[in-house]
Amino acid sequence: MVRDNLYSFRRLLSTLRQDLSTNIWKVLLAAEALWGVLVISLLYFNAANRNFNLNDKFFPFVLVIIGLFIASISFGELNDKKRGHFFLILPASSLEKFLSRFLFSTIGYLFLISFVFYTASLCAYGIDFYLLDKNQILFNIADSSIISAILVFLILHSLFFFGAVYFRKLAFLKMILAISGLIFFAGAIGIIEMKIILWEHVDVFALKNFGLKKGWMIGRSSNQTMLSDLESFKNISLIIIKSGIPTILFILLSYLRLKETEL
Amino acid sequence: MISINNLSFFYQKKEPLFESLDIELKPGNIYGLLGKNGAGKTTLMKLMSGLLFPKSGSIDIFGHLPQERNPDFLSDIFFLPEEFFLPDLKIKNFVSLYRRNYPKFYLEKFNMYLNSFKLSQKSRFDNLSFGEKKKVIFSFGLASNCKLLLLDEPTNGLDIPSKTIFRKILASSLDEKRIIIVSTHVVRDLQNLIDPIVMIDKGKIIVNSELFDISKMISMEHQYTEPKGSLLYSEKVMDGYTVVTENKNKTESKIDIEILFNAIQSNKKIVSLLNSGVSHGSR
Repeated sequence: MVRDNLYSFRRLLSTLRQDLSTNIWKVLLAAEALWGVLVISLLYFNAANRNFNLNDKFFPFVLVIIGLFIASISFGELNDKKRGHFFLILPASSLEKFLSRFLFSTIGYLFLISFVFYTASLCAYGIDFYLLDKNQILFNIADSSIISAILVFLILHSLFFFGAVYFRKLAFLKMILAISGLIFFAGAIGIIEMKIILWEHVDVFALKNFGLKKGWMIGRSSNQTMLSDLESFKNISLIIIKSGIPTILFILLSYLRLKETEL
Repeated sequence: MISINNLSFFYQKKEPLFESLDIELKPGNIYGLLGKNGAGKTTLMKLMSGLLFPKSGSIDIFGHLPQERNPDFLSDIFFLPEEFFLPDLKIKNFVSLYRRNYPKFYLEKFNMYLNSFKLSQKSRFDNLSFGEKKKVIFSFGLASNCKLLLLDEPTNGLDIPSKTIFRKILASSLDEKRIIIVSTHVVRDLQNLIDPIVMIDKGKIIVNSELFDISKMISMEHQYTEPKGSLLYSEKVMDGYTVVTENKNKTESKIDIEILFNAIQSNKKIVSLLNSGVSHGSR
């Protein structure tokens, strides 16, 4: 009898159930802690009449930092021989094990963190409105800056997910170092190239000569005014096309690396 | 059938662990995998289970390549390492979650083994001792009805009554389709259970023989006085000496595996003697 050794929906469901059952309490505890901190912060900043900027800055920041950290520990078992053995010889294909962790650290995480932010802001809103007679900001998932942040998170996630399989220890820090090193290296090479090719015609250290604008990644111009819908859509489409290729590449690399992991 | 051909493996290139290792293991046997510390017993088990990949050569386990780690293969083997991990769950939750990965899992058998070890399904792994956890995972492995069971130091951490139960369960679980490989340093725990014997030394399989075949080549006897004359090995025991000699009369004698192991370590002539009578991989 020939069975599908690459992928089976039944086995994927089973792997998802196993991953959920073994991590549910840790996840709920972390979510509860975040929820508590969030409610207190929202109430405090509102009471102090300070602009908390929940949708524009705080959520994107927390989403990316926590999300990338979770992506980095997605294959924490491989750091520990006993847990690693258990994980690697569990009868499911590498693709199913990979997909389970990928879905949890992307869709599962996005759903949970949005739920935590929404319920926390709703709770703070209720307290402020009914008890303190003040207005409170509500978390809005449809906010354009949140959608942009989710997009940036998904692009960076593939890098940190690869780091989780590639590095055995301190994957999060090592990945930050690797990315910083890579950016520095690419920048240095770029500057040297510009110096060689254009020599005295271009002041290569002045970034304005590259035509870069501060907010290009999240669809805003440098003077912080929103682009028109069409431009914004065009910009996001470009980001997807430009970042989609490396993202897919890193997802593929992570899978292949997991398949070849020895312990 | 397990067939390993021309296997080479190393952790560091300068110090190869296995070089051109060949072995065939046949179903219906409980193989005793013996060797000194660092001989490569655990590594060989890891290679068979797909946790490590051969540098060259091939491993064929019931028609599967372990390094592919296909679900079909993984559900047909069970590796119980010396140190293992179990998620923090109740036994019954663990079984209901993980038995799905083993299509041939037999729940009634698992419950029977667990009852033999006097363990309750309601216990949480966090509240169990190392030995108790080992009993659960061992029962789970047997109930998975896998074709290959790899046990690395299985009696470590088990109390005396549990060792007896362990031996009974293991002996009863053997059938003509299954291969059980037990790696142990405490040979006396499994003296009457393991047969054939596979000995690894310096990356080579030096012995792969049934005890019956071994007893045709060498004999072991007890002497009260200090042994003299042509002998292969002697070991001082409580009330005299155990003497290993060439079995010229071809009379059968009981083979003490621990003494056989010590004898082979001190006199390599025994290896050539054993191999002159039995070829590797043959029964």
